[in-house]
Amino acid sequence: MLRIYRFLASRKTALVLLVLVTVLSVAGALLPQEHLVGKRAYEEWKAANPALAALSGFLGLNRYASSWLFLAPLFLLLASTMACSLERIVGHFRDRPSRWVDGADLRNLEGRACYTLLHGAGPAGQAVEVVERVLRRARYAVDVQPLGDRRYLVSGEKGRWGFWGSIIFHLSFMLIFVGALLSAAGSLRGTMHIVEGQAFVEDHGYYDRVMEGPLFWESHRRFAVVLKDYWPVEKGEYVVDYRATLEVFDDFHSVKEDTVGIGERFVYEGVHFSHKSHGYAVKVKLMKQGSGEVLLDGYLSLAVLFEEDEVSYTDYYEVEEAGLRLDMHLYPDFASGEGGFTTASPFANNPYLNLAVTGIEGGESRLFQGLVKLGQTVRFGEYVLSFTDVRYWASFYVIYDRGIPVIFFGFWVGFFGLLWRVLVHRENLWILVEGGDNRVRVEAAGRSEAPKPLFQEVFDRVVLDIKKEVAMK
Amino acid sequence: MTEAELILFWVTLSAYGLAAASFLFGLIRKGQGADRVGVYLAAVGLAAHVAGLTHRSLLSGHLPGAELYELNSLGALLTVFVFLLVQARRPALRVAGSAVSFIAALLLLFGYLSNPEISPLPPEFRSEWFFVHIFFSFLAFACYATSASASGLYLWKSSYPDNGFLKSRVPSLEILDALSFRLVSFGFVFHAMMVISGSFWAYTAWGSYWSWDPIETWSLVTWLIYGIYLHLYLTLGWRGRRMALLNIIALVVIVLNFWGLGHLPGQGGHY
Repeated sequence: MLRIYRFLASRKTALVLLVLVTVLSVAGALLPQEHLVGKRAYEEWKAANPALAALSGFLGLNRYASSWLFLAPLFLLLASTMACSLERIVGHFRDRPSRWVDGADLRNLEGRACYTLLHGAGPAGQAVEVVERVLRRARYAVDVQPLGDRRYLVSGEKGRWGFWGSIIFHLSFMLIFVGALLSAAGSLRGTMHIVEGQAFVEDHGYYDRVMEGPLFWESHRRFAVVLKDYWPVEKGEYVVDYRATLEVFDDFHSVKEDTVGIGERFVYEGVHFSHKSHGYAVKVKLMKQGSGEVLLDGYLSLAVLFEEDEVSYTDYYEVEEAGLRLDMHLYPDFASGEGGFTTASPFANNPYLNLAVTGIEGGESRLFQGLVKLGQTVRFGEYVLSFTDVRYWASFYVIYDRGIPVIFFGFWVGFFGLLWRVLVHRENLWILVEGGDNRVRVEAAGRSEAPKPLFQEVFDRVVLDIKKEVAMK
Repeated sequence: MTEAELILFWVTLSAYGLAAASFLFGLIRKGQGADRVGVYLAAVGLAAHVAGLTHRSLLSGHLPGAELYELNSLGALLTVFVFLLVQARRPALRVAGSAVSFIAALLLLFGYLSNPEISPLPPEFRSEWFFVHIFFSFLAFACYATSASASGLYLWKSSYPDNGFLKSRVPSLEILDALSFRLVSFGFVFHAMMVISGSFWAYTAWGSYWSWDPIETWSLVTWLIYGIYLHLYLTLGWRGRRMALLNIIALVVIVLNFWGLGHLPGQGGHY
């Protein structure tokens, strides 16, 4: 066990794993990913590159982010990062660098050290004051240790806590990992749509599509969301946005209302509703002639299809009770020309429904085919159908991700750790001042976590300032 | 593009082009005066650039980042900005100005040729995190590009150790090495912010903070490459030519990631 720990706690191991994860990521990024490119495109690529596809499939690189070939080194890298961090923390407390050094050893400091020797005129006490002033001006925390017999060691320190930036950055990966686990196992992702004026209840059966993690355990919130209003926002000749006003009812009480544009989010109780798209829903009433029995009376949401520059609203609905299938195509702003029927604008200024009614089992035999204007009623066979209203529907991604707060917290912790690491370096300067009444000898040494050439410049500047002020040579 | 924006665009492009020529002239004729002129020209170009992008943002109603033109333009602006900051602190690095100004001019021209017209912001881009993401991605690029320029100078200087001009005008090899590292460190922080803000944006736009699409994966790959660079420097103590080479290779990967990814089969992403 200790051997495994030692292996993982080696920085060389961590580096090798980092390289391995990078190489596997490159492979994963270059090879088509089945879930991203789609089944058809993947099959085409597979047919064109059979050998590579076979190898990729065998190694799991066609879905590399969930393959063990990728996950195993990733987990090992995480474990190694944690072990390395632990070792560094233990090492830091064990060999904690002191802000004091032996005044006699300044010339032989270990690590990225700088050293210089100066001589000047004047009393030692005055030189100490000058050194203190110069160091304070350079924003060092200064302390003076009298060593006796007109010998003083002045210590300047900055960035004392710099070490912890790197540790915090590396430990943040554990937070992100825990968040990712929570996200994968205990979350819900779904899509739903609401017709203007109607409600959606946050429960399994109301979603168009829903995916729940194995630890989600159907913990739905069961509040209702009503789409109160939906409208386009125009700017010049463009529609630049569609906005939705949503109201939440929890326990039959209105608890929140907000308006969101496309791409914006509405959040209640940790459940995020991300406004995605919209379409039209038509209200259709189907009755039996004579008996007046209502077979259908409600809003039917039409799918939105994009073909080149044209958007069409079309769908079908089966009325099982009557054995009828309604194929509908809506022209929100109907116009007819040489090319056939079209819509003059995407707005419901002059809605027409192109309707075809067939029997569910009836094959091609059509009971009705034709245009139905908003407010119009048509009769076919024993049925009466009215087209009574058009409204928008809006669709939303619904995300209830328990891992997100942890992941995003981990991101911020990591970012600030990294920023801290880059901005704060521990720097120590030690100036030994010794001399008589009119002659002074100054030894200056320093050490930093920053690259030595850059620290050398800082060190030289400080030494130059001391030189100038003590009038040394 | 309005007339005012077009004028500012051409002023910017001309200033960057002239700055590149001036720095190059200074390099060939070994004159520091030409370098100073190059700095002034780059600063004039930057001022016109800021004015042009501000004007465009006021017209479009959003920060730059919606189209390829805006992305490239922002990239050029931040590259020149970072270079001017770095050279103010280290005038000896002005010799890298020809490469930096040339890259900026090229980016600007590339964006202009792609389509400079203003179009409405697509819905998925309507997130403040998107603009944070764009800003930090190009800030990281600017640091990496300036760092790679320093690494390029390192390779050049170390190949001709007896060249008098390089000895007198270019910082010492140790300083170039340390500066490359320092700039990569800052780029790495901005890159991290880019990845983080990108995942916030992806979460608001697509409901997923990370989906391993090629853009995301390549962005992670480049971050990891720079992570390897930093660990090699800090942990194994690597210095010198191999680090300079790695730095330049990492920048090439970044360039391919953003400008070349769309040309690879089966790739694609946010745009």
